[in-house]
Amino acid sequence: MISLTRSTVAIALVLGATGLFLRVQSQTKTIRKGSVAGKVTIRNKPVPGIVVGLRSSEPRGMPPEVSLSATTDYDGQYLIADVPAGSYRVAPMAPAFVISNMNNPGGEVVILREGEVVEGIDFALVRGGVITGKITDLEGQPVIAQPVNLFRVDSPNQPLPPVGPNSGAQTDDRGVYRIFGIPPGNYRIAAGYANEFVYPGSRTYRQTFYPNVFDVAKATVLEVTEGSEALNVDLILGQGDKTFAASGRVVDAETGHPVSGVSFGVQLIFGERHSQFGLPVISNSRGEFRIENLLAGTYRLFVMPQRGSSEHRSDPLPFEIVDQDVSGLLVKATKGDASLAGSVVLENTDDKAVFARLLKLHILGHIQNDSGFNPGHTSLLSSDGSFLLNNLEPGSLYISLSAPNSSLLKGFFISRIERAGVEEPGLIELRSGDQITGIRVVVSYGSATVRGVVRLANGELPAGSRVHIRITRAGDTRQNIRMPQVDARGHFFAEGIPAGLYSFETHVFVPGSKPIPPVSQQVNVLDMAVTEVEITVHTNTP
Amino acid sequence: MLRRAFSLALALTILAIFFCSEFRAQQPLPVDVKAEDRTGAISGQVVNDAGRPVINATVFVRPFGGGPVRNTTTDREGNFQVTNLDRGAYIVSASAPAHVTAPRDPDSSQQTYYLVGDWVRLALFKGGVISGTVTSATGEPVVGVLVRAYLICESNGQPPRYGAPAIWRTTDDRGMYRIYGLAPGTYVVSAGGSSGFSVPYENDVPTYAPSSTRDGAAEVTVNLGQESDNIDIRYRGERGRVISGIASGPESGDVPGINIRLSSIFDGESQANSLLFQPLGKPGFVFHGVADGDYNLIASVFHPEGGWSVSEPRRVKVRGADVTGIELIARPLGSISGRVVLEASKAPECKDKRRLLFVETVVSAWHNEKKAARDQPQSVWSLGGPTLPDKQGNFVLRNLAPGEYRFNTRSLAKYWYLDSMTLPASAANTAPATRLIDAARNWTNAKPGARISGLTITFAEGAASFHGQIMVPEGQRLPPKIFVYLVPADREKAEDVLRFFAQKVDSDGAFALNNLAPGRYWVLAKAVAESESNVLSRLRLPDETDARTKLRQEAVAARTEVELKPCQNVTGYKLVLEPPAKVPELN
Repeated sequence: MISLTRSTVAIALVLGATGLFLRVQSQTKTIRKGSVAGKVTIRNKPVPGIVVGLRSSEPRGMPPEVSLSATTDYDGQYLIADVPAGSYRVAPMAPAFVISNMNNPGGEVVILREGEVVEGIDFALVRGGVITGKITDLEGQPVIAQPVNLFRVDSPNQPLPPVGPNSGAQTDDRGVYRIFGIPPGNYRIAAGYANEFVYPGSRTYRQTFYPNVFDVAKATVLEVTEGSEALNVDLILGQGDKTFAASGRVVDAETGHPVSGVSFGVQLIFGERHSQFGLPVISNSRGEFRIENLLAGTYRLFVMPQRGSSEHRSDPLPFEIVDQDVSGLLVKATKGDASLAGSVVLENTDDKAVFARLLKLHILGHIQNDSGFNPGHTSLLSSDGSFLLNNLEPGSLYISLSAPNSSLLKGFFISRIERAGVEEPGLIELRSGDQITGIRVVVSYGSATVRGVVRLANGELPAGSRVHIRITRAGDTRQNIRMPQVDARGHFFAEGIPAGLYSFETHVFVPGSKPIPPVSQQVNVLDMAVTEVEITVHTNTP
Repeated sequence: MLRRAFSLALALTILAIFFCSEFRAQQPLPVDVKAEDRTGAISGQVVNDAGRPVINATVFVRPFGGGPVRNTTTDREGNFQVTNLDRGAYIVSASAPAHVTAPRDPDSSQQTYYLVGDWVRLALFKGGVISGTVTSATGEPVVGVLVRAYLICESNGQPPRYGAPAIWRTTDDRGMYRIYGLAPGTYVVSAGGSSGFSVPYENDVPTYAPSSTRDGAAEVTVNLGQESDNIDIRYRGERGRVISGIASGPESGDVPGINIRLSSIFDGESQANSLLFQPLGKPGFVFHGVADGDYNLIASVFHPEGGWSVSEPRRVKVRGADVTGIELIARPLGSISGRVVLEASKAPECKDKRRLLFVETVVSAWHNEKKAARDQPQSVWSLGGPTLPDKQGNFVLRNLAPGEYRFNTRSLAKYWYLDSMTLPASAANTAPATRLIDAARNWTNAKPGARISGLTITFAEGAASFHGQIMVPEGQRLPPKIFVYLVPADREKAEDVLRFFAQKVDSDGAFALNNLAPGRYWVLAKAVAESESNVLSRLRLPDETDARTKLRQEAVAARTEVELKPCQNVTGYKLVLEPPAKVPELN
């Protein structure tokens, strides 16, 4: 018992390390701080007591370096003070309400300069709708902790995810769910897993739409209006979703000996597409394995290599589950016998601290071949920047940088890959037994910042305009170096760009206006400096 | 943004699996060369407190001492089966939403491991519920605020053994929350405070039910299967303080960042934990919404190859102002290595008995709880998990926080017993290298980052068993909690803690002591207070010499002696319960 509890805690801590619970504030001293202010209204009336939050919005998906908030006063006014320069998303944190401007349901992007005072970031809210009901199984027992998904009728494949963490879009111990803060619109509601989200190996219910139908076309469309509440939207799960097991053995393709301790992944095929999962399944000392809880369907099973333990991998093995367990699957695992060694070099700086940061990255090698699937090989970098990719199978190798957390990648770009002093134009071809050495991965480090504004030649950007900027190297527009966020005022900001000549391709969309042709502008970006850019777009370009 | 939250949840589920596989990758299942090349199944049933099947419960089958976990779900009859298991011992556990596991009696003779081929009955009970409404000072519902329930006292009256984490939910559009699946015990409930999620009110001090700081929090009693409703909170919405600083640790390309844990200390007990993550390459950490009070901060890093590094716990007092500039440095934890030795018996009675496998001898290090620094959170002690020896019997106990340790292991083969645990005196740094220290009777002191080697754990063949029945005079009833003790009667074994045995007697008076070292013993049956638990473990504590001496006096006074021959199985032994407290005082 003690050992069990201890391991559980250890795993919990490891999971903590995956970075869900992230919030870190920058310690950087900023001399002048700016502010963001505005007003929150409902039906044109000011609302007091609404918390408005401001968070770093770049790089996306990363923990915000800044997280500030303010509460609206009796006039509905909020003022978030002491905001350092940066790129932010500002939004009311009022889960029962939605922002009535459907263009920016996630809030407004604000690019703030040092000491800048931005006003008029206003939000008009409407009370969202509520859908509530109870989910039971065939025995009439509540189905507990079951996620419930809303689907907008105009985008049927995308579930509208739960509101707030761990909240009403999951059933409670009575089987009751309550989804609130739903933007007005037409919805279908479902519980259980569509094929896209089936997670083999654990008990799942087949996706069932209200009112207890599998076919989305037969699902009732629920109309949600401002402040509406739909009661008794109940579901019964568990009809026709019997699950089966698949079992077999994994052997070494050459020797025929059983391979123990290998992990598996599975692809679930539906039509042209597939979804892919790692399985909590490991072969035993006789190479035997068993996968439980598979719904009927077409699958492909493969061996997933684990760095440091089993480097075995396999071609995907197709199998089908119709109405019974599948046994006798024979997976032939191989270990690639090619290798590739080399080192990374920094081309545009001698800064030892930057090199030390580079050494925290990994070299990731993806091999494209007929097997259609390969999860990639990684190598750590040793202190001199050298790396070794082992057990590579034949195919075309694509090299990239990866990191245990993506913020470490910031500023690093592979500018070219050299083999014996000659640039490799594309992928590196590997044949069985190849032992390639002397690969140089030339990395450039970006220390430049670009800041600017997009203007219309004939005046301000109208409300509701959207601006996209693509930054590419001049003369090589294939790879996006950056897609900076642009706020409603046309301000944008991007850092961690290597010095050089770039092309800024700017697209402006003005609602209700004729399409505006994109504008390309070349900008020379300087090292260790802020390059100011002004882009003027002519709406009436001939 | 909402969509992203969903894909994050999904990605996390998948990531969790990948992490588990990463986790197991470091500890390949040791294969004992002597193990039969045979696999099999463990099957069983999961039932609730009424004996009814629990459907769709997840059952985990984990090799004893670590290794890849297998899982399955129960069918409509609550039955499960996990096949293709390698031979060995497994821990079997079950979980189901809204259910809790029955608290295990540490003195129960009920086994904690199962062998391939076993049938297992597991119990899951419907947990308790706390529900209520959070409203503002003006009576408006507070929507989307995090409500947390902290277990402060288990149903046995003890503080939570492993520092129970908070269970939480957010309020709905009516300000209502419902927290379910709670283990029985006493809780406090709070709304608001730092969480790391994008929710409103996270910069506020938590408001405890009914409407106060932690000092005035109402205690909520939770019973299995029952709802404690109307636990309402009048939300105060006071802006909290900030605790911030920088954490650092051994760097490596495999480490995504550093975990920072903030525990509040109330009445000397560490209670509410907040966990933050400082990703590698980020300049620091910040906890928002901190109330005035005393806190412990600790930083930890997990290295996939080298184990955990942990900082010294830092005590922080928050008194009306932000606390900034805290520096936490995580350093590698210590380790103790050694080997398991198996000594076969030449006694003819022990011929052709099954040999103990290294894979069955799980070794764990237990820290001295009396001397343990109170501010070292339980989570840090928990890092030093049990280990399994390799094919040669060598093992390493890793992730040991500085402190005093003793060691625990057990035999899973019927005719093998734990004979001795020794360390060279040099390892403990007290005497010449040649002398051996009894590591069962003495604490082993691990200094920060210590690398201690030479722990030798000897299992010997020839274990006896001693089964029987407690007799009480006619008309009397069995007391609720009785223990049978074996106290070494051989003079040269008198101080050998591994020759002390204690076993709880079943409710029908039957007892069974197994894996006993052969030899002469005094036998004693004694009723103990119902609050007493972990009797054998406490009896074998190095510093409990007085308790052992006292027990010896009682046992000698009871004048029941047995001699257990190698591989002897004593059954049907009739033992009279001693009347309580008739021991002459010794001066």
